[in-house]
Formats: sequence, structure tokens, C-alpha cells
Amino acid sequence: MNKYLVLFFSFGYLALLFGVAYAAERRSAARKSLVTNPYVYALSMAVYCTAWTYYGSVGRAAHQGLSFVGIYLGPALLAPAWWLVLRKIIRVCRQQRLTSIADFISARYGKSAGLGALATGVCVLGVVPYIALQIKAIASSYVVLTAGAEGVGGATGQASGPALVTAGALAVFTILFGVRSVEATERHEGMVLAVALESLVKLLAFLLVGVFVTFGLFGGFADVFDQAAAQPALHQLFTLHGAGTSGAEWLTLLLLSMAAVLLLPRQFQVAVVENVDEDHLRKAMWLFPLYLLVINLFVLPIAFGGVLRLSGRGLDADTFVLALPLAAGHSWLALLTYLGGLSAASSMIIVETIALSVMLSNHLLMPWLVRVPAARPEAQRHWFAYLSRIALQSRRLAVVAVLALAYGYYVVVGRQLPLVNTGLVSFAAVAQLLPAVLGGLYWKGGTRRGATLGLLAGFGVWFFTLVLPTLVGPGRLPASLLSEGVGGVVWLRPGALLGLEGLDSLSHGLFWSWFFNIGSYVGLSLAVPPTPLELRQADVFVDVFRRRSLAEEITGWPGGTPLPDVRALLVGFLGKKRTNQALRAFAERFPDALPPDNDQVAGNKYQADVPSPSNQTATSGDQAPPPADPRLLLYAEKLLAGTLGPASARLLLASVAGVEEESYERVVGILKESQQLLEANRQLQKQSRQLQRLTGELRQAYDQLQILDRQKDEFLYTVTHELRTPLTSIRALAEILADNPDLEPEERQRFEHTIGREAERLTRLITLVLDLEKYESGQATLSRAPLALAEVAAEAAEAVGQLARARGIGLRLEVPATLPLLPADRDRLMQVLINLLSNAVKACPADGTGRIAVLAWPAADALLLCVEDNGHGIALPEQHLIFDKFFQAPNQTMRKPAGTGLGLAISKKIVELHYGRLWVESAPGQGARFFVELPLGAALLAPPLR
Amino acid sequence: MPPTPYPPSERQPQRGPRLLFVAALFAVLLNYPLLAAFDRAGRVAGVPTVYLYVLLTWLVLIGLTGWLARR
Repeated sequence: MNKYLVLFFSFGYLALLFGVAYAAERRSAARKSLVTNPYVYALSMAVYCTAWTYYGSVGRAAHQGLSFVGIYLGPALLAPAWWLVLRKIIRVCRQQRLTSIADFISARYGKSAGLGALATGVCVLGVVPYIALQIKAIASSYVVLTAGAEGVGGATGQASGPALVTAGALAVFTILFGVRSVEATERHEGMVLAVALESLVKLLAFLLVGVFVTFGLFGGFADVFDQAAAQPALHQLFTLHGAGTSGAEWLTLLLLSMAAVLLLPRQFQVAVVENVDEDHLRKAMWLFPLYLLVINLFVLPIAFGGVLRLSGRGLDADTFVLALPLAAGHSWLALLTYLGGLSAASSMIIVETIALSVMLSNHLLMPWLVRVPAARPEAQRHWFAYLSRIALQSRRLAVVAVLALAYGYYVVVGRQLPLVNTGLVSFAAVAQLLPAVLGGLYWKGGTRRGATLGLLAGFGVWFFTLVLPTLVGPGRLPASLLSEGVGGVVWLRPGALLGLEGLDSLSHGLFWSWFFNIGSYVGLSLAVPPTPLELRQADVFVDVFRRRSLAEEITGWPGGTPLPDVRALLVGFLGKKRTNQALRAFAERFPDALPPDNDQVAGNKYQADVPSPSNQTATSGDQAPPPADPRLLLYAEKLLAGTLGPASARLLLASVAGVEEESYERVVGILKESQQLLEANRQLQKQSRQLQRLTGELRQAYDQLQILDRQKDEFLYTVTHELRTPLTSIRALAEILADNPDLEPEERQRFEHTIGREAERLTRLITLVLDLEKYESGQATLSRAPLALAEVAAEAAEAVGQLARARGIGLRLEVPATLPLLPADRDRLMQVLINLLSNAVKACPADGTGRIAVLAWPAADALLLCVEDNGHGIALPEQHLIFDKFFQAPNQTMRKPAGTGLGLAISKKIVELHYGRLWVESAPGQGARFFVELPLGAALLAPPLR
Repeated sequence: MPPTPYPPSERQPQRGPRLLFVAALFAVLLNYPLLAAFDRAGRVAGVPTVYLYVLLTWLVLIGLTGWLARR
């Protein structure tokens, strides 16, 4: 393709990025942010997919089959755990105003400047080759595209020109949109939106190539795999073991990529620093893995397609993505693909460079500069004001330095290395930070010394096992180094350290580096106790979710620092406007932190003009300047940390406030106290939960009691009502008899007979009520003896036989005499049976069609008795009511009901006393069946069912 | 309904552990020795078995994560 056309589109694309970023910054300034949504957040995380994904995945897949996917599966597997791990990191960083992975490690381990510098060193040394790789990808894709389909092979050498131009353009972009303000906590909305857009571009471009290859050059996925199956070299890539991927290598890829997605400076930048809302994680947790899955869908078809179609031309498999559309004559598709690769590479370069530049400036330069002693306070203040300008300029310089380093690496070393290997070695370097980070997040025992030694050991082993072998070659290191070991010592071979053989080089390197890293970290942390400051920071980090406000933190700064000095320090770094803003926010939050003699509006005290000691003493008369509250010092330290990093901020504040003095006992005491407070709080919560439960139970019991009370009232009412009916008629008849001594003898006899019957009814009713009372209060006892059910049934039938015959009802008894003997109270059982039978008689029609049957049969461990009639039946809603006290069937509309309403209630109680059950099956107009189940021997030992 | 002892931002104390369980479960599913069980020569619907297994498991993982994150 035409060289100028390609250049035109390249710069057109970069100009588009500038435009998008600029528009986003404008919108952000106007408070109409385009960036504060989870989709942009998830897309910006896809900066994980670099040119290495774009070109290198296909290259790796063409040689090793599926193993490339491990690099994307690791992040996908870690993503669900982000809710615990990444959210905690975000919370810590927001609270402590940390802006890079080096800040994080330095702040966690006692705000150590040395550890911050070490972490920065690891990141820079590990990641610069990775950036060089991106530059190389851009350069070689440019060469492939401009050389055309014929000259594709071999021409990758002369690309330094375009690479240099690209690096320069990206440096300008990064400085313009990535390093705007001295406050590193500030979000870079323009940069984030540009990166999100680039993620879309690379995804769409790659999918387009994938669809073109799979469905244009071939007839779908199955066709690609069919044709690949015909080639033995490709067919063996269909399985992992055929491709030579061992379980150890697979696991190593997963672990490395998990560490990388959490700790790579660019990932930390987009996921933590640029995070607007923790809740965005919930969408990103599944959107980001989905992005990774989609972008990898077509990797294998493209790789196999490339091998099948381009095998004769001696092409590097890394260029298949471009070469396939070129070879097919679709140069515009190739141009689009090239732009996708450019976007993948440029977004990575931009974000990585921003992150590295802040780290370099805050951890390598600033700790030295803030130490420069100043003789007079006046000069010190000027120096500090100057320093903030240095900080900003040094970051811009660092951007250029990082890109220059990467370009230099590309020119000197990088051209010979394939894409994937460099990336993985970078991952392994960054993975050395993992023990210190995770340990710092979850283990309070980790110390600065432990982390430092661990990091040094891990990094050393990483260099020895993974970097040294790449330096071997003609004109560089001798090859004997690999086979015979350093200085001829066999157990110092980079590929088989201490004689460990049989692992691939990556697994071997990761194993040994983590072995020494974790071992030193944990071992030394346990051996040497932490300093008070480390102890405090450990507490702040590990318990971040339990702390709510600044006030809960313990400050170690001594009181008595003059307030104007602190303010002067802040003004020097943040400027007057920002300082006033921050101090007003502080005064609103802690109104009590003001000097007691101040009766002005809260914030005013902090808002004086250019502060100078002379000014201050003039306004407050002869008094000494008011001392700053220790909480204000802590707040100021955090503000400065957001600009300079935690270590420099601490040094700087110490220059004003004096040494942060903390005795071991004091910190331990305070921590213990706060632990006890937390514990007490938890106990209180537990107790209140228990109380709530008890209250609920009490309320239930109370409701139960109320129901019982109401039932008792109803019962009393019904009983008295029932008693009054016969009493009234007895009294009326007795009065008639008394008032009319000359009554006819027949009449008198009839009245006396009625009085006798009513009295009898009254007696029966009272007996039943007393019976029921006895059963309900549990005072009734049974005199059990084994009895034959047949006899009892016959006797009961005898008792009601007269009544039944009078109403023309046929009574049938089918109780076999062979039934087992039942341990029961004969009289009570008789009562139940007579009750059921007389109910049945009452229910049956008196016109000669009434039929009653008593049936019995043995069931498991019990006897079943059934009294069946063909009477009017019972409707379903009443079937459980009939066992209630004083329930009268509603169709008994006569003034004087046929029964007392207590018979079934008492029968049920009696059956339950026998540990049995009484129930009914019926339907209106179809008769009723009352069932009695009475357990035999064994069941009687069990406690009664209540 | 008794008040929960958590602030609004942490109302779902179960979400973290559930998601962690999913991560651990799928880490086992997508690793040796289970992976080796699907690492066979055959093809399903034209696609090599192990490719398809990884792809489908990955999809389920995404779906499950999304579902748990929404709750």
C-alpha cells in the first residue's frame, strides 16, 4: 500500500484521539462527564489487550495452539474476586490518596521511600521492554502494510523512522492529556475516553479480520478446523498435550496474568486511579471478561488460516493478522486492521507511560528533592513552591524518558525477540509485587524489611532465570552460561536453578522467584518486629472497610506545630485556591479542630491571604500563632501524598512539624483500644440482635395468650348460655307448678317429666364441661388394659341400637374378632364410639334409607376404626370446625340443638390421650366417614404429639 | 424486619464470598487435572473438544459473575 496513505491514516487516527480526549476534557470541565459510567470503565480496562494480544496471540496460537488463551483466562478467573480484592485496593487508595502501585507498597510499609523506589525500579525495568514491544508492533505492522503482499517477508528491519515518529506523537499526547496537573489523584477523563474508544476500535477491527478469514477465506469454523486437521503439524495443536502445553505451564500462565491484570502500572491506573465509583466494578466484573472472550474468538481460525494459506512465504506468524487480508487483495481491510493494531499499541503506551512517569517522579526524584535542607524558613517556602513546579515538569520529562528508553530498547535489543515472550517476562517482573501487595492487604504482620528483601530476592531471581537467557547470543553472553552455569557452577544454570529441571523456563522462573520472594517476605516479617508506623499503616490498610472517617485514624504528628506553617506548606504545593478549598472542606468536617479562641466562621481562620509568620503575629497580637490540630496535619499529609507520593509527603511534613514520633507502646495501645472498640461494637450488635429475637418470641407468646384468653371468654359465654336454656325452662315450669296447685294431674306429670329431662340435660352438660376441662388441663388419666375392639364396638352398637331402629336406620358391624388387643381405657373408648354412632344416627335420614357401618382393620403399628353413614355430610370448611367446642352444625336450625356441641371435642381429646388421631372425610349430601387411628404397643412409648 | 447491622454500601455481605466461590470453582474447572479430561483428539460440531470446553466454561463463568454481581 502507498506509504503516504498509511501515514495519513495513522496520523488522522491519532488526531481523532486528540479530538476525542479534548472534547472529553471540555465536557468534564463543564461537569457533563462522558466518563462516569461503568461501560467506559470496563472498556478502559481493556487496555490490558495490547498489540501483543492483537498480533502476538495469533503468533503464539500458530505454534502452540490453545495455550495463548491462558493469558486472558487468568483475568477472567480473577474478575469475580475483584469485588473483594480490587474494591479493597480502590478504597485504600481513595482514603490514602495513593496514585500508583509504588505508592501503595510504600504507604503500606511505613511510607518507606526506599521501598517505593524499589517498586518503581521493578516496574520500570519490567515494563519498558513491554513498551518497546508495542513500538516494535507499530513499526513492523507499518512495514508489512507498506511493503505489499509480495515483499512481506524479511523487510521488518528498516522501521526505525516510523517508530520514532509514533513514539514522539504518543509522548505529546501523553503529556497533553496525561500530565496536566501536579495532583496525581486528579482523573484524566480525556485519556480514559480515548483509551475506551481505542478498545472499541481494536475489538471491531480484529473481529472484522476474524469474520473475513473464517467466513470469507474459509467456510466457517468447522471448515477451518477440517482443513487444519488434514495437516499433521496443525492437527496436533488441537489438544493441549499435543501442542506441548504442560499443566505447570498452563497454571503459570493463569497466575502470571492474574498478577498482571491487578498490578501492571497501566491496569492500576485505569482500574484504581481512574475509578469514579466502586459500584462500576459490578458491571466491569463481567463485561471485561466478556471483552476478553470476544476478542479471542477468532485467534485460532486466523492462526490456522494463516498457516494454511501463507505457509510457503516464510512469514512470521505474528504478522498473519495483517498479511491474510493483504494476500487476499483486500488492502482497505488491511489498513483497518493496521489501525486496530495501532490503537491497541498506542493506548497501552499512553496509559503505561503516564503511570510510570508519576512513579518515577514521586519515588525516584521527589524524596531526594524534599530532603534538600533550607536554612531559613523563607527560603524553604520558596523552595517548596518551586518544588511543585519541578514535580510537574519532572513527570513530563519522565514521559519522554520512558518512551526514549523503550525506543532505545527496541533499537538495540528488541528487534530480534518475538512479541509474546517479552510480554510474559514483563508479567513475571510485575508478579514480584504480588506478595507484598496481597500480604499488605490481608496480613497485618508484613513489614517493610520483609517486603524489601522479598522484592529484591524475587527481582534478582527473575533477572537471573528469565532475562539472562535472552542476553545470550553471538557478540553478547556466551552460550556456555546456559549449559554449564555461571562460572561453571552447575547448579547456577539460569534454566535449571539449583538443579531443578523438567519445567518450562517461565514456570521455572516464576516458581523460584516467588519461592525466594515469598520466603524472604514472610520469614523476615516474622523475624523482625515492625515499627510503630508500619503497625499503624498495616492496621489502616487491612481494616479499611471498618474505618469510617479520618477521625478514627491515629495520628502520630506532635501537636504544637504553628498553623501558618502548615498552611504555607500546602499553598506552596497546591496553590492558594486549592488550599483554601481543601481547608474549608476540613473545617466543615471537623469544626472542633479549630483553635478554641476562634469565634469567627469556621473556615475563615484558614483562608487568610498569603500567609507569613509576621502577618499572623500582627493579627493575633502578642499571642503565639495557634497550633495546628494533629488531625489537620494528617489531612495535610494526605493532600500532599496525592501530589508527591506518601514517602515524600511524610518527609515534607516532618520538615515543618518535626519528626513524627510514635512510641511502640502508644501505637500498640491505640490499636488495641480500637480493636477492643470494634469488638465491643460487634458484641453490642450481637446482643441487640439477640434482644430482637427475644422480643419477637415474647410478642408471639403474648399473641398466643391473647388468643387463649379470647377462647376462654367465648367458652364461658357459650357454657353459661347453654346452661341457661334448660334452667330457664325448669324455672318456668316450676313456677307454673307452684302458681297452679290445681293443675290437671296429666299436665302436672308432663311438666314434672320435662323438668326431670331438662335437669338431666343440665347434668350431662356439666359433666361434659368438667370432662373437657379435665382433658384440656391434662388431669385426665386413663386406666388402660388390653381389650378387644370387636367387643367394645358391639357394646356401643347395642347402646345406640334402640335409637337407630326407631329411626329405621340399618346398623352394620364389621369389626373382625381377630384384631390384635388394643391397650386402651374401655370406658373412654366406649364414650368415643357411642358419640360417633349417635352423631351418625342424628345425621341419617329417618325415612328408612339411613345406613351406618362400623369398620375396623389393622394398619402398621395401629388399628383403624371407621364409622360411616350416608347422612347429610359435612362441607369442607366445617370439617375441622366440628371438633371445636360448642360447634353446632349450621343446618341444625331448630331452637334447641340436638347435641351439646362438646361430644366431638371430647372424643378428639380422648383419642389424643391414646396417642391416636381422629379425622373426618366427607362431602355434603354424600355421608361422612369418621376415622379413629389408635396406635398399638410401640407407639405408646413415644411422647404425645402436641 | 430487624435492621441490618451493615451500612447501605455493604448491604450484601454474601456477594463477596459467593463471587469468591465462583472464582475458586472455575479456577479448578479450567485447570489440570480436570482440563486433561477434555483434552482429547475428537471434535464436537467441527471444533476441537478442548477449545469448546474452555469457551463454554468461560461463558458460564461470565454469566454467573454477571448474575451474582446484579443481585
